Amino acid sequence: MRHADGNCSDFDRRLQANLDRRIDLDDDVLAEHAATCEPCRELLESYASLLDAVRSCERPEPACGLADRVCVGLGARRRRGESRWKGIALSAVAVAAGVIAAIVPWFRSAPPSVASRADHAGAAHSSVAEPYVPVVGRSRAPMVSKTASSGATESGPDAVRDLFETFAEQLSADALPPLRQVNEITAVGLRPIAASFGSAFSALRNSLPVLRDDERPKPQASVPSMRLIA
Amino acid sequence: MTPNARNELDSILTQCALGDDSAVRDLVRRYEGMVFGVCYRMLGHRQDAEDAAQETFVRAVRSIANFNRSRRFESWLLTIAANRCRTALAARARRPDPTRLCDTVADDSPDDHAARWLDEELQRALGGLKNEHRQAFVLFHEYEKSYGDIAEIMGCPIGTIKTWVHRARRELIAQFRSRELTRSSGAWT
Ligand SMILES: [Zn+2]
Repeated sequence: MRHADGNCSDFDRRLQANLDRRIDLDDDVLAEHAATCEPCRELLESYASLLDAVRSCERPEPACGLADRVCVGLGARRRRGESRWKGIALSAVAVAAGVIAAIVPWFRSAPPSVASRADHAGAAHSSVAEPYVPVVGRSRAPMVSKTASSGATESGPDAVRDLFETFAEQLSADALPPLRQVNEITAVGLRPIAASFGSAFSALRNSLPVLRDDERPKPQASVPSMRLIA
Repeated sequence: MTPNARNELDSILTQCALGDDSAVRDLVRRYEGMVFGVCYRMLGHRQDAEDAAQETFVRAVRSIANFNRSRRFESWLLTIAANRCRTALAARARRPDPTRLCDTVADDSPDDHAARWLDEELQRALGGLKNEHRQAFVLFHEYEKSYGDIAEIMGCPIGTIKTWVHRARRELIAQFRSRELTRSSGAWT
């Protein structure tokens, strides 16, 4: 049979090559072989029908408004992205707040050596001295605090302590209200961090012999007081 | 692509990267036919194809800053579309739904009945192919992409793509023959 000889494989190769190059299948060489070989003629007819079907069928088109839906989708993603960064930023601020809130009381309850150094410097001759009041954009009443062991008034304008007091002031006044408006995800992530910091700093405080329980100041920032806003 | 068209596309891409919604709409309108068409051929279901096309554009716009401008944008976009379709097909394989094998159109008007019928037959035949064979065939024969472009889109060597297209053609004509779908049979004119 003709289709079993070399001409049939040549025919198939030429047919595939034409298909690959998107050349018309009405090729004289193909037609010549197909005229005398039924299987190849059927093959040619099948491929031609397939190409015809691909060209004739309707190109599927999307429903109207795909562009609008894409913009809506992008808007939602952008908002999600923003809230994620906002959440991370709030978490970072909250962690910093936790650290500062835990450290500031420790600095305020200075050991006797610090107070005595201040006395020697002649900074505390009166019974009530007004410590450095940092300017944070609002007035503040004079602050009186006692040292842990001597009961002497604290008046040494220690730069580091002032710095932390300034932070504490700003935290209690301005930074915490936005923190209360955190979303649920942030709060859930924050609780274990806050608990860890709380445990770590209570252990640190307990290890210091100069501090007694009743004189230990309360932290100014506490995470559990945050209100969840859905 | 002419240099003018290239510059115009570059400008649209830059505006999209800056978050300009009107540029995004322009971009979608330019390519929605191609992206949706490929998704529809791959998924065989209008709603799934709409979702995949939407997701393709959203992802493309979000990553547009990372797009290498020396590449063909169409190829890059179709790569994302191909990934979306693969994900959708994998999800479908995990949760098979027999109603999603092939869309049927309810409101057939007599005028385009033949075209619709042929489209359904082709879609049915394509549905019987392996996913990669189907994608290679559709990109080559329906969307007239070169083998080089398809290799870039599908992340395979050109030889592999050629083999897939050849196999897809052979399988499709076998299906056409078994269903006696030929021009000469008068199945469509
Ligand atoms: Zn032959």
